[in-house]
Amino acid sequence: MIKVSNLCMDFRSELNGKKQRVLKNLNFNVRAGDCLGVLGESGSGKSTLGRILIGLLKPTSGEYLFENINPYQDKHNKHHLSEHVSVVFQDYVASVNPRFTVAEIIKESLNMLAKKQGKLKYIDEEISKLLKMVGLDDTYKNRFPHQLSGGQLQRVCIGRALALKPSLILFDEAISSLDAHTQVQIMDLLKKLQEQLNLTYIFITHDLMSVTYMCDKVMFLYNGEITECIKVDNIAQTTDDYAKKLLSTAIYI
Amino acid sequence: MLRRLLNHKGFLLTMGFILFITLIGIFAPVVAPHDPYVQDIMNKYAPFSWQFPLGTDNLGRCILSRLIWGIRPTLGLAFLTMLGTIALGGIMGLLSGYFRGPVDEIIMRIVDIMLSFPSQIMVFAVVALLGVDVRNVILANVFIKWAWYARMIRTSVIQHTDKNFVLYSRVIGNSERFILFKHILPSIASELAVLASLDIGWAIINISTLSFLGLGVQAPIPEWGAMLNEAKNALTTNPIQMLAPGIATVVLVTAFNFLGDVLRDALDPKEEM
Repeated sequence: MIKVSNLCMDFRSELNGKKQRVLKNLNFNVRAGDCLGVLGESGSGKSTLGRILIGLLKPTSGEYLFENINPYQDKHNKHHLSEHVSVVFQDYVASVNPRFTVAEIIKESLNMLAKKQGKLKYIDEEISKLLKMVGLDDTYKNRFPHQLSGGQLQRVCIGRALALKPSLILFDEAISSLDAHTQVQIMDLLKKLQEQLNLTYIFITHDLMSVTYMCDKVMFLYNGEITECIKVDNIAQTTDDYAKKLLSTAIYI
Repeated sequence: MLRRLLNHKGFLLTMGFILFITLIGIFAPVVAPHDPYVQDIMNKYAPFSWQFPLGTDNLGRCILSRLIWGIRPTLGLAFLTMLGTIALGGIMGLLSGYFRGPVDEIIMRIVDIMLSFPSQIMVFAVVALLGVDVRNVILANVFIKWAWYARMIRTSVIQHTDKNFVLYSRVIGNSERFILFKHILPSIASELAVLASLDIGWAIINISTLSFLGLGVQAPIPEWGAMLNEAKNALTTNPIQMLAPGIATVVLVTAFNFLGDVLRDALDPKEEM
């Protein structure tokens, strides 16, 4: 589904105008139905990679193919990407417009779906269905984001992402700021949804535990380079130094 | 948003007061007891009476009537000034914050230049250049104030374009127009409302100052600043002539400042009702 080859990304430093290479020659594939974990510390380039994958940032060089189409080639291709991809951000408070009610938040995505598939007849029922899917009931519809807890709000964000009927959802540290109990709940929910709707996940995080719980494959990103990409089941046999370091600290936690 | 406002006691009180003053100004011909221009030199400096509730001025005109008629130019000019300022500053700020790059650079450098002039001197210069006229006063005020607004609005726009909900909207392929009108504008609207209501007070004072100095509204039109100017010679003999427009200005400006404060409280979506 996703094919990334020789992907590089440069940023120009605001201080001295020097170019800085944030992502260096990335090569990897994601198959439909996979859940890929992208693991790395702060500043390793994982969020930048995420932004490229969802169409927000044009890579400096290299190729990114989504379903064999390069979204950065022209407007039409970009359109194809935005129809099939959705995202859940880390900061759930900033991810929703504080002036919208829960129903309006989800409606924004539904309206986009309507553009894609023609008019939706029962928007209201569709919203209830999505809320139910993420474990919330109809009473939440008319609430504002500040009246919801973090877990509930993140559920709304997931519901909104599902509204588009995407094939790929990117989670950019989506559960890192929730408490452990809610994290497990949300991860269970995501697993269930993945099976139901045959979704592909890319899971960007710095938390090894959630990756081992959620993902099939894990990719270690260090300083803009992929140091290792292995199956989660084999994670203990990693040969990569950075991965080993992460693993050893995880045991102490 | 409207319901939130209507449930806010402080907002209702200040807005009610301002609306009341505005209505008096609009219905000045009905409300005012006398014609503000009719002179009666034999009856100058008359004390309080049923006929002249606030007495008469140096030309024997009814002070209360002039005060009531004075609401029109005072408030009207301030509103026009703010409208012009917000329109110009808003468009410039939006352009600059949304498109960034060279557009942003050019507009912001102009803003820098505008902001480095002392504003009062600039107003005098503009009025002196274009001639003493009410229209020029508005122009001058818009001219010195727009840059300030452009910068404020640019900052808010930049803040909001990086917000995740705008990014999300972009990821799912929403049009720029949708993002601008549904996400960014509503987000900065409340900030703008607060700023504008605070600055109407500023505009009232500024226009009154100019009129007091003889650069704005000209006699015999009853404007509060111009009235202060006429009264300055009679300060000791007939203080009410000065106190009336002076206190009226202070009260109205204070009301607008209060309005700014309560608007900020009321429009904050995080504030619980």
